[in-house]
Amino acid sequence: MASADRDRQDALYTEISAGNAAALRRLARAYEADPDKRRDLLQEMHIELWLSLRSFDGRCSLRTWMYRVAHNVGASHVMKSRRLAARLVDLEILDSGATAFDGETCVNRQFSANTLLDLVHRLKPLDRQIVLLYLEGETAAGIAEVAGLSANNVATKIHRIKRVLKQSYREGVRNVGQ
Amino acid sequence: MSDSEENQQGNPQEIWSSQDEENEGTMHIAENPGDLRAIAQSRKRLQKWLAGTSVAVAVLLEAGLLYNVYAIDQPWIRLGQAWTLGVIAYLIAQGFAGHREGILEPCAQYLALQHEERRRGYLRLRKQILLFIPGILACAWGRLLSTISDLHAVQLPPTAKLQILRTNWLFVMTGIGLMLVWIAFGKAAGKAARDREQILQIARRNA
Repeated sequence: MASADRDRQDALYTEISAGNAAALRRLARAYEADPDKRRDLLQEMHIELWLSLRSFDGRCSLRTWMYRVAHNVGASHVMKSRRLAARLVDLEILDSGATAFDGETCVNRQFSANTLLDLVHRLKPLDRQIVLLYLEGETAAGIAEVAGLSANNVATKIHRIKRVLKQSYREGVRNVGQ
Repeated sequence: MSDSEENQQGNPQEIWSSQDEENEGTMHIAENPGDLRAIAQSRKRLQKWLAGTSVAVAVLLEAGLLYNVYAIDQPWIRLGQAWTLGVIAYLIAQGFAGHREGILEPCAQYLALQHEERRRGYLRLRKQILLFIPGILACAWGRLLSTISDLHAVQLPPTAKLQILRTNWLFVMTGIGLMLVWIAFGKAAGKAARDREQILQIARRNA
């Protein structure tokens, strides 16, 4: 590879990872609960991101590019574990209340963070990506670009996410009251 | 979520981004381009080494089979060994899996691609298993014929049938095992196809 290409690849990587290191760590946590495996996954995300930037052509923003690569690495990680993948559910199922939500019984910030992680860990990869991007503050259009879905489809899913979060919050309050 | 509920619980996006500071300060990984390049290069070296080792093992196996083709008298066993030799050579020629495909695709398309690759992988393995079966059958048949001829030669009593079964049980069990694996791979390929279709249906919605 020419030195100029390599420099460009390194510069792009430095630019994107400097501003998004924390987001990547959160993303890794959303795909793997075990700290050792999570470290490996996070490392994998960085390696794949760096490798991918060799062919960055500006067809989308650098941030969208980063999310695509990182989420795809995360999704592959989830799919590798067959037993885990078989237990994952769609957002629709959580929304319909078919799966009872078993969060902690203490309503505080830590509870809320754990509740969110709990919820995210139970979702299938595609729904998980949408929830995570929503939690990272991405717009419906931005999420649609990363996920490869229509903006309408994403908006419907975000509506469901909000309903599920509200429901889990209420269940937490009810549990504290009991 | 209503405003009052959000205020009590905290904004989910705010809670989500704040957890990094709370829990995750000490995770050390290589984030420097130079370190990442070193890791990528060492992986490439490892892949090359693994590929080389696999080829060496396969060549040794091929040498053993080739020896059998010349050394064994029974024509069916010889044919079975020659067939297996050919199958292994074909599998080596197929090469080794490369880099992760489609990593730059949008997530839905990437997942669909992964399920499709899974499906193809299962079907490929199933086909490869199928390729070994004629060789095994030929060897089993040849072994059976030579056992029968041995038994006739030494004029053994009626326990001969049991003897024949005993000498061939390994081939029979291998055949049954391969058949079960073949069915299992077929089912797994069907599941991968359904998973892919599900993703594509979601992606097509409102598209």
